[in-house]
Amino acid sequence: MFCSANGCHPALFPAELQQSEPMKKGYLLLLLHAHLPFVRHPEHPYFLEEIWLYEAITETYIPLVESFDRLVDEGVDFRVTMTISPPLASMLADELLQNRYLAHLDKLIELSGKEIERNQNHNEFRELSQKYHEDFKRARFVFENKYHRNLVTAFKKFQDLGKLDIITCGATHGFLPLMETVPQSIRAQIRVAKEHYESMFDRSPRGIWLPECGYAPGVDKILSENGIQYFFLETHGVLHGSPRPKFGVYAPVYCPSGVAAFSRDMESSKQVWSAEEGYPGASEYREYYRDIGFDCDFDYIKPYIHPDGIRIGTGLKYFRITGSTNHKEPYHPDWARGKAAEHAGNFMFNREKQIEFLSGHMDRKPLVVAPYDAELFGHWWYEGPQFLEFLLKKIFYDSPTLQTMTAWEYLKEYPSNQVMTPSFSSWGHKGYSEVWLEGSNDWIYRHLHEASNRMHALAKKFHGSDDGLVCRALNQAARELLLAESSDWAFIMKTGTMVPYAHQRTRDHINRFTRIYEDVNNFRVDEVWLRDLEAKDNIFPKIDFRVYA
Amino acid sequence: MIKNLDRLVKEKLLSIAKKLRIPNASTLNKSELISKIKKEEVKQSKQKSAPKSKSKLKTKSKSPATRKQTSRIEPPLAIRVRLKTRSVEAQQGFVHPYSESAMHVEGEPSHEIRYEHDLPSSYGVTKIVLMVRDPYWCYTYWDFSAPTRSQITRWYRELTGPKAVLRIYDVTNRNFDGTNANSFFDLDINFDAGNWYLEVGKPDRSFLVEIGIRDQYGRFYVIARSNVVRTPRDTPSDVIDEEWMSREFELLYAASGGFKIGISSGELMDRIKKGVLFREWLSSGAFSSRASAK
Repeated sequence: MFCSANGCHPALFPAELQQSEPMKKGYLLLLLHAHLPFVRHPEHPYFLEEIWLYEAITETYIPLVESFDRLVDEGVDFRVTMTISPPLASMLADELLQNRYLAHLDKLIELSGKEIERNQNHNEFRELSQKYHEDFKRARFVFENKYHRNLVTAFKKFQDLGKLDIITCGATHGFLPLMETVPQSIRAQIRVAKEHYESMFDRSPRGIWLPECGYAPGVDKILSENGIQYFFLETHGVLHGSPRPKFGVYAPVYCPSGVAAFSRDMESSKQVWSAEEGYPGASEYREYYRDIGFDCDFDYIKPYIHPDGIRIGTGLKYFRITGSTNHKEPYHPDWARGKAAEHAGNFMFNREKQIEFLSGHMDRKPLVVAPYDAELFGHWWYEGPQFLEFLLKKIFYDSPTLQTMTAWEYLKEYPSNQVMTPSFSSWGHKGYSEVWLEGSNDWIYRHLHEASNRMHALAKKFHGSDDGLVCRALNQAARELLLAESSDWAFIMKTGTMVPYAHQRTRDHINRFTRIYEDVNNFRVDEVWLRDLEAKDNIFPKIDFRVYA
Repeated sequence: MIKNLDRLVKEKLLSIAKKLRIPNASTLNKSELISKIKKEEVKQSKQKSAPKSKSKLKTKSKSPATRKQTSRIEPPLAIRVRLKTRSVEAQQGFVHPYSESAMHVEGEPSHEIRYEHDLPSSYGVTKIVLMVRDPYWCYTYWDFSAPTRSQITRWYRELTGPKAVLRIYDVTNRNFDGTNANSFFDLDINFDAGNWYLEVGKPDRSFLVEIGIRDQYGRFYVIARSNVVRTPRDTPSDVIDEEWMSREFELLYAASGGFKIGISSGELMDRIKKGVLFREWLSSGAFSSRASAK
């Protein structure tokens, strides 16, 4: 640090002078957080909210799998960190939902086939219909033939190849800082997630994405008890940590429990996320809100929307963003592809500049952590998966400075890091708990907390029980509590769309839990009712209620 | 006179009705309520007792969390049923203390619990729970058992000038024994709200809250005490780790988004070259807070 010692201006000394190593100067950790709440309704032949999963499979998960496959085939070395939340993994591995997805996809293939005919006199639209038709057929091949309907095995394959670092999440994505007074719930969220991960990926999870990036001091201790070695933290979590961080967000820190925390870089997030300046708003990109589900003649589109005739998006969209007015021009996939390549180049350039700047001021290689919701790529930003593929390729082939990296590898290279207690933080609006604790959703906590305390009491009381029916009932009670704790319900209540569904789910799970609580305490478990419930809320088949003891 | 009554949620109307002492208000539907309130206001203003209630009803929400509430629809049927049960309680002598200042002191009631439908309104356990929302705000909810409710009723009958109160203690670095808090302040509330947002106003401090009744002589009758919470820091820590300290700290801190959140490293380099950044640090000193503005 000679420049500092002389009191000189750090920037007067270019980074190259201080970096004698010819190796890469720094690392990029790309993180995709894939999560959807557990939505599975065998009791209904059609259920609107299940479409969240189907859309994400078609638009995000399959395109990502295809990209990863192409990169591997081409010999591109890359690293991506990815959460597959336990509810998402459960749904992807669930036979009922797999079959329903295939039926859904078959309808899209049928619809896009009809579209080719309908658009036969409109060249631009006909080509798009053909593209969708091919895309859907290829998606079917990837889903059915290549990965035998279970995309968890696809992601696992890339992890086993060393390209993907799959991390876990809270068992049902419960927001941990609001469970401070019910620590048994935090423990269960982590423990159940870890065991579920092991059943899916044949090894223990090394890292975790804390739901909503929500950290409160003490959470790390529970991670440590479960053998989890690193997690991710919002920017101010480390900046407001104590003692002050030496390297800002550009190197991990250790919590007092010994678990490492990697912090989000705001600059790289903003480039992708920001509604105004972010990439996804470019005029060449596909317009999300114009969909034939809304635009087409009702009788024509009826078989492909909600059975009650409610218009919904189908995924067939013909327009590009064009501009800020309602006037939209036809979508040109090749223009959009060019733009995605340009944006990938721009993203890499900015990271290189950033790394060059930072590496001149650190005794180790800086690490830029860029986490995103996975569903941003493909579902919201249709060209997102292309952008990622271009980016990973460009970094591999072209960048003299930059290399993609996982948290695990970084810790192996730099095992010695500063120890500090990070500050309570989340990546929600305003950075703390307000999204999940405000006028629309604060009423849920008295119920969630009471159920958690009751579960704790039940687990202690029946810890040694060998009554098969009672144990089954208690395991189901644990599932109901976990499902009620999903942060998605509070989030939906706050954002204001699909609110009745979020209310219904909170109420249903709490009520089911309460009934079991009363039945078990009164020795009158209804086996028929319980069996039906086990078939419905079938997440975590191997759960043991004693996790709440 | 309050305008736009029909745009208020029913809970708001009910609380207005209670302040105006309209009997059996909770058994009325919304339009009946509105017309009763209008009548009562006219009556009371003639009696010149209105100015007080007018000032009370300036319900400008301070909490951003509760600001949107006015656009809410009427609560569903089940809620009305629940409110009815409450009014039975009221007839049996459970007097709801509506403080005059309750609506415009530091905190705001989180609006009444809604959409609960068939979830229980009480679990019959006396307790109060405190949760942190951000560096400046906490949230609390409470529940009373039946014996507690009767005790409260008795207190209301026996004490002089009883008021329902939340007492918020700053217990930073204290093992609180009921007497050794660093400081405390009271919020007048109504027990029936069931929950409240508290502006504690201090990051990186520990708090707990007691719910109880304060009489005219300032004696405080505690009903329940909460857990202790710590608000998060809103600025860089004062603690510096010598082993990990260097002159680069401020630079990397700024690059990470500290001092000026969201500045890009390109901009940062420009500013460093111009010598601007360091001046900014020296002059501002403040970290641009992400917490909700006070």
